[in-house]
Amino acid sequence: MERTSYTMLDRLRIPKINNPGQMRIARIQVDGEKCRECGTCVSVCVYGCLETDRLKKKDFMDGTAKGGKFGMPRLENISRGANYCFACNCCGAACPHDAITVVRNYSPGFRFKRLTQTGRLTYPKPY
Amino acid sequence: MNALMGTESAVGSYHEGMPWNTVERIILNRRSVRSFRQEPLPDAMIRRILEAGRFAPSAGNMQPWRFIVVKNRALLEEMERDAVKIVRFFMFFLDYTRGGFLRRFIASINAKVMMRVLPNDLHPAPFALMVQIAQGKTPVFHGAPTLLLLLEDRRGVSSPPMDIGICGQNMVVAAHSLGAGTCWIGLVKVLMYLPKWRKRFGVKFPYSLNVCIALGWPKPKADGPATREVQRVEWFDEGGLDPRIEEQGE
Repeated sequence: MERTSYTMLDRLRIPKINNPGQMRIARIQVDGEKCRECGTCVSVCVYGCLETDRLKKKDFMDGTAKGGKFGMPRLENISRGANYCFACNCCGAACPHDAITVVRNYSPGFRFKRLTQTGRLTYPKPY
Repeated sequence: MNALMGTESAVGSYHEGMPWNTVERIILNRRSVRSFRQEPLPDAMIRRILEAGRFAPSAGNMQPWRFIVVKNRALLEEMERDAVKIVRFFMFFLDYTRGGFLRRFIASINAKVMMRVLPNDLHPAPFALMVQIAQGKTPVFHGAPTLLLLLEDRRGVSSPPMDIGICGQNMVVAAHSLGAGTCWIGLVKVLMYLPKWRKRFGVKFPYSLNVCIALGWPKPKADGPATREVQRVEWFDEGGLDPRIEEQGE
């Protein structure tokens, strides 16, 4: 298996966090049939980058989010399809209905490129 | 995921492909908790968690740590306010994701210079977090009812930050096995820019404060299995001097 290349030019360049051309942006997938729109994932999101039509993490911080259906979660778009998700999978683990899966991992580009992690995501495997 | 449900193996034995045992299950299911209930853990439970830290391994058994438990609600709120204030101050100069063209241009030059000066503190991941905190989209300490500050004695043997990590992870795993939730928070170090907080926590030579652990009861049940990247591992086997690269977790 080949290694990820890391050249001197990579080492010198700093990626922009809002430019998907320079970063590998994480993606999550929400199963519309399983999701009950409870908002749990929004409340545990690290960066507050998950949102629904009616809800942001701010509402949980203020305590204004109360019961009801909040709508399907999605990642907040920063610019040109970039978002601040870094694929920690906390939303997926906290989801009571197993509706969220992370389909793509996060890797900053250039200087901060991740070298030994491949792009595939797996659950713990009992060897 | 299914491997983390179902039967459990006994601790202290191994055969290939056996189900996870209790200890492995706690470790693999541990997720950082970022949403806590209001009421703090009982004091006895915090002492029990600290006991796991007291018996952690360290280089030369020098135990280069000092623990501070913060439970005072007014103090926690003040810490949160000040941390947000400092992050806002830095992001005024560095945040190149918002504002007009000129602002973005100048901020991106600042950010690129500062990311080379402080590559670990301003890595894209914490940088994005600080951008979000400055906009009030996410808190610093996640409203935790208890903070456990881990101060590091810089005179320690070999690499004191590593000992702090070992000690803290011991406590985190112990806390999760008792049903509590924890989160490592490195952003506590922004408070060290204010002399007020240095003085209050007594952070002066030989101590430095780089990390803290938020402790509390998780509000939604947060622990559970998660996916992680398949990892390249090099094996130097009997076969030859070139490593064989294996895909761990595939």
